[in-house]
Amino acid sequence: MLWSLYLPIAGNATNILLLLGLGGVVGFLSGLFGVGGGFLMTPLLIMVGIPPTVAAASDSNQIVAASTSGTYAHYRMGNVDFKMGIFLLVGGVVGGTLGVQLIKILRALGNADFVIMVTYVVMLGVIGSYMFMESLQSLRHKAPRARPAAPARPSLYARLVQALPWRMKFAKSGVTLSPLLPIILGLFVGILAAIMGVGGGFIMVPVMVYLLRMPMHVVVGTSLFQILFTCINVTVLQAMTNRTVDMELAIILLLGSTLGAQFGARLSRKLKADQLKILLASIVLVVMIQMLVGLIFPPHLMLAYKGAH
Amino acid sequence: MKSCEGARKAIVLFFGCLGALTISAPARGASAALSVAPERVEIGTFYRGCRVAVSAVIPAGGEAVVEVVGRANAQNLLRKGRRGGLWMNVGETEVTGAPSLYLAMSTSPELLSGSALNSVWGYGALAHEVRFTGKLSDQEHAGLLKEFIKLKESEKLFGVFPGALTLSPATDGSCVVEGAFALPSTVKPDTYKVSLCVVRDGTIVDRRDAELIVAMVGFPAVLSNLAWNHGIIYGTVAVLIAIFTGFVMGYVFKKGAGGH
Repeated sequence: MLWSLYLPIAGNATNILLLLGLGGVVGFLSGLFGVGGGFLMTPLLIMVGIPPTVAAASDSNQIVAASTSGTYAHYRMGNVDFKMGIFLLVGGVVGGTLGVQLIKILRALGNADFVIMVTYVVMLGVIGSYMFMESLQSLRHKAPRARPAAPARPSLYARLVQALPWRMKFAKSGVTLSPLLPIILGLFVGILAAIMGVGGGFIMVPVMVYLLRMPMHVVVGTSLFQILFTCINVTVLQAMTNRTVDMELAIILLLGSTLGAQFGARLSRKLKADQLKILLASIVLVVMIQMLVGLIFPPHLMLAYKGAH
Repeated sequence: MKSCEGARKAIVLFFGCLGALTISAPARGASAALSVAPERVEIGTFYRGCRVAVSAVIPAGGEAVVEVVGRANAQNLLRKGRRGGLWMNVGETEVTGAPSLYLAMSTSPELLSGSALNSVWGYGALAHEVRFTGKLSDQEHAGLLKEFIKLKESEKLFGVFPGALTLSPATDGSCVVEGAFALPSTVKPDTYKVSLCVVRDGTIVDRRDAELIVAMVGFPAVLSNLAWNHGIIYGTVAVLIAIFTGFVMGYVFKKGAGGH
């Protein structure tokens, strides 16, 4: 096989062009939607013969490059709200740590995998369906051009947000709210991300859009900024503790993903927010259906190496 | 007289044994000739598995079985099962006594599939060695072995190939056994044991062993050493390369965009 390369940590050989292609596609989606792409890349790498633990850790490493490239591209376009990103990051780091502890407790009780699987399917299903329906409605009611007016009576969530102290202005996002809100939401996403073993971009994006009311283009840049730091932390920790980061694999993937992220970021500028949302929702739903199929039908192999979800 | 008779018997016995040793020594030397080519496999940057040839001369009328066996090591595995109608990991099991690599080939297909000796080689032999620990019933144990073999076969680390060895007559009336096995790209650096058993009339009449060395060299060896012995440096370098590449790509595209 031409273009074959041996990956020393993965302990397997694979095709360079295949990895470049995978990196390019996932990087493109990363730049387009502001998601790390871990929920797509890790299963794809496992499919091409990379051990699950190495796939997840090396993917974190390549996301560092893709999100650096994507953040930089969005920063040049003025689409990164650093202030909001830092508050979300603080919450995310604390939440991630809590989530890891929670998983340890669940593993000791023996039902961690059930919780992980059900969380995955429910989260992907709820987020995907809500985004899809909402974007579809917006696209259908495009004619008046103007956004529907805010409801006359504020919702319970809006009243709770209003009641939080230390309100401040987030100029880039065009919102005024308490920094506690992004910290709390970041915490929630961090817990979920740790349980699901992903960066959390595909949860963070809807959270920013629907709960922080940030404009979609700022959401993409800010999400990438937050993912960058999360993945730096994960890469170094995985390299130190589990020795599962395959640098060779990550470099090939990141060459593809950084290129893809640039094209994705450019296209995201051309597409309308609702178009972006409906595309992301479709991908999230496809992944959810694929996971659901895997849960319902018996697997080909009834044994797996420890370390994979 | 008796002591003289005893001394004579002892001398006869001594020379008899010496003679027997002298006769059998060349025979052993000949039987040691199990040839493995290459004897050393190097895992470099472009390694993607390789073919390893085995050959030996055996007495006419004999059959042969060749095994390639890796060191046995304990492994932790996750068992899949159904909970609430959904398939997921339902428990852990530790497997011991299982070789890291197991490939077996034979001249006659029956030797690895149908004969009474199939518990000496092949998966029948593995059943005596491999043990699963955890909360398991005897029935689950048997099922797990089958699934374990399936898992290893999916990685091409286990394989049984009845009839894959060829027999051809040599000039001196003996036979030449030849065959080749595919060493997968997933093989770990280690020393593997290659064994050849000569079978005649359902009995093992000779056994020959050789070694196959698999070593990691070049860039993969450097990276592997850095990852296992200097984790912090390795992780930091990995992150810095990623950030640098991300910025370079961003900068290149910025320049490109300016041109348009």
